[in-house]
Amino acid sequence: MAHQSEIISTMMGWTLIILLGVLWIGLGVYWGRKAKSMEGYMLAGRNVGLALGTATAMATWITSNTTMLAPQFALELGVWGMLAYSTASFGLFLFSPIAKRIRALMPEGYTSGDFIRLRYGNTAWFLFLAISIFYGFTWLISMGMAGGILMYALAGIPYKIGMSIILFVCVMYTLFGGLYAVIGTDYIQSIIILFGIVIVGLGVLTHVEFETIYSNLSDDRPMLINILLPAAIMAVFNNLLFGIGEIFHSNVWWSRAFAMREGVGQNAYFLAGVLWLPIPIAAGFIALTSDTLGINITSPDMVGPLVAANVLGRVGSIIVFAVFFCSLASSIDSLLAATSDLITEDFYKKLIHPTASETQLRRMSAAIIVALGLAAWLVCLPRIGTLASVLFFAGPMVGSTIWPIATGLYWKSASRIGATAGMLLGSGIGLIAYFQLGWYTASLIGAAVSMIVVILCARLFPENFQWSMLHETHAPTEGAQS
Amino acid sequence: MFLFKERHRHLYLFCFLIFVSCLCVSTNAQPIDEQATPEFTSPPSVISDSGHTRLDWTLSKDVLQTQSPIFELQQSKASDFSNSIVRYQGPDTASFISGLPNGVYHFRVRSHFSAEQISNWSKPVVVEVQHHSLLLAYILFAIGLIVFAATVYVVVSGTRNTQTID
Repeated sequence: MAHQSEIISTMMGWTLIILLGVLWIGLGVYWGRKAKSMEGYMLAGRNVGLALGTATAMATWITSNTTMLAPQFALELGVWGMLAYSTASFGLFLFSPIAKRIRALMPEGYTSGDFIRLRYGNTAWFLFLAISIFYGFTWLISMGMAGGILMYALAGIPYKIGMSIILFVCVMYTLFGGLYAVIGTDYIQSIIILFGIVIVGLGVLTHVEFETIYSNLSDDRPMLINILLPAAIMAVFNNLLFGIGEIFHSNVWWSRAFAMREGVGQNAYFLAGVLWLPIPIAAGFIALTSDTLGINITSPDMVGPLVAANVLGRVGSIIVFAVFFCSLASSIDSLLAATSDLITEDFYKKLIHPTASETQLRRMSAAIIVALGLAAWLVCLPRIGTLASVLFFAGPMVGSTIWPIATGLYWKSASRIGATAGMLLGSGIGLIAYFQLGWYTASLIGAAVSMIVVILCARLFPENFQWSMLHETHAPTEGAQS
Repeated sequence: MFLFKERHRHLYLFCFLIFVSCLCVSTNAQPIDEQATPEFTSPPSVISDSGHTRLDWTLSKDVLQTQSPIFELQQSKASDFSNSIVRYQGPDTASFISGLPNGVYHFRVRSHFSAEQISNWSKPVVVEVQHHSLLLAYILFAIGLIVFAATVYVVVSGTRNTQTID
């Protein structure tokens, strides 16, 4: 890894990590006492209100993707890149009516996998699970890597140690508290993130003037302010569709839709989108000031934390450190919980042990959380690429799920063959685009191919699906606790 | 007289030894040789279709263990580095370059150990920027717009229809 000048002392970095780590694990243990049943552990008792629902949706969407990738987008693709990133909020806006539809169609549903299995059958279900688990794991890796990069960039803590600690802390509190702990910590983390981003934004604006930034960009990085930067033009809808695909298919969002009280999901997701929209613009803008502030960037995914910490000085760096730690933790915990639910419910319960008791399911869920954390840690050890290259590798697969999900929820004619072929061809052709054209085209191509296949199959092989078939009841399992 | 000469002989010997040891010390402290010249670890020729790349360089471990040089990264559109600009000056061993328009860019780096002790320039790295065609970009933009508009239509019309049915 290239040498990069750190911002706060290593001792201060260690102090912050220990304080934040103990706080989150302590809260996880505290909230974990509420989760007495499996439904409580996995879906927070299906009783999450508007404030907590909005906060958890927003905090989960403010991930390393927002705080570290949005600045990277701005540094690589300029003003277009910054705006392109903010379009990911459309995923939250569009999921708002979908959340309501999901609750209405599947009042006792657990996972996004449940929907695909009941709507499209086993072949599409297996393919969907492969895509969803692969994506979830890729996202987890990108954030484990982001944790290591962050600790190194801000405090000079070696990448491997920083990455290991953040994964360990998140595994521990998710393990103890389940979705209660995830949503509870998300609420606190979202407040810290919003507060911190306002401070960073004000700090940047008091340090540099727009004219100076524009002048420096014109001299040193002219294409970043050129509206006709081809890669950036390609990235606009690629990122938008990647965001929509992520939210439409991922169990992270479905589990929240199931966890929120009836009538809450629609408003919570819409509000989260409104609150999230300006954040990547603010985070991206600060990256464009790096030259003006005289900050050298060795890796583009480090630009956000480095500029923010430089602008705010040593004391402000503590706030920056906390904000980035929270943004990572709020997403890692959600992913661990949602992916573990998906594997427990869709693999273990449905395929391996249908009569498993709640105690067995909870043990399995805990074991999967630990296994996911360990597997992510192993893959993160060698830093395999930039955050964008790692995350967007899953882009074509994610993009290919948009149309099977959307039409599956609203069109009776959407067919099994269309969903399966759409995901398969969309992922395959999208991956070719990833390697031939660049990561900034893969989701777009994947979504476009999948859309054509799904529409054609709905016309050529229409089904007449009965919505009542989605209303699956979960019979009480042996040894279930009341 | 003999004593005086003898004393001076020791003095001369002492001065000679001090001079030689100073020479040795100063030779150790002035590694302005090939070891002190940084080398790019990036390939000598880079092609970019998005206008950005990362340049990495390194120094021999022996030098880095004993000294903390300041690196100077220079950029020019000419291979002889006329009209060059300093792209970076500092202790980092990499720099991320972005926002470059179409063209050929030459980069070289050297180390500063003090105001007087400056290494030779490294072998240059050539970065050729050839952005994707705008036609391809517009086509992909249009495809993206169509997919997005159609997705919004499915969700909005589906929501309206289901509300009507409800």
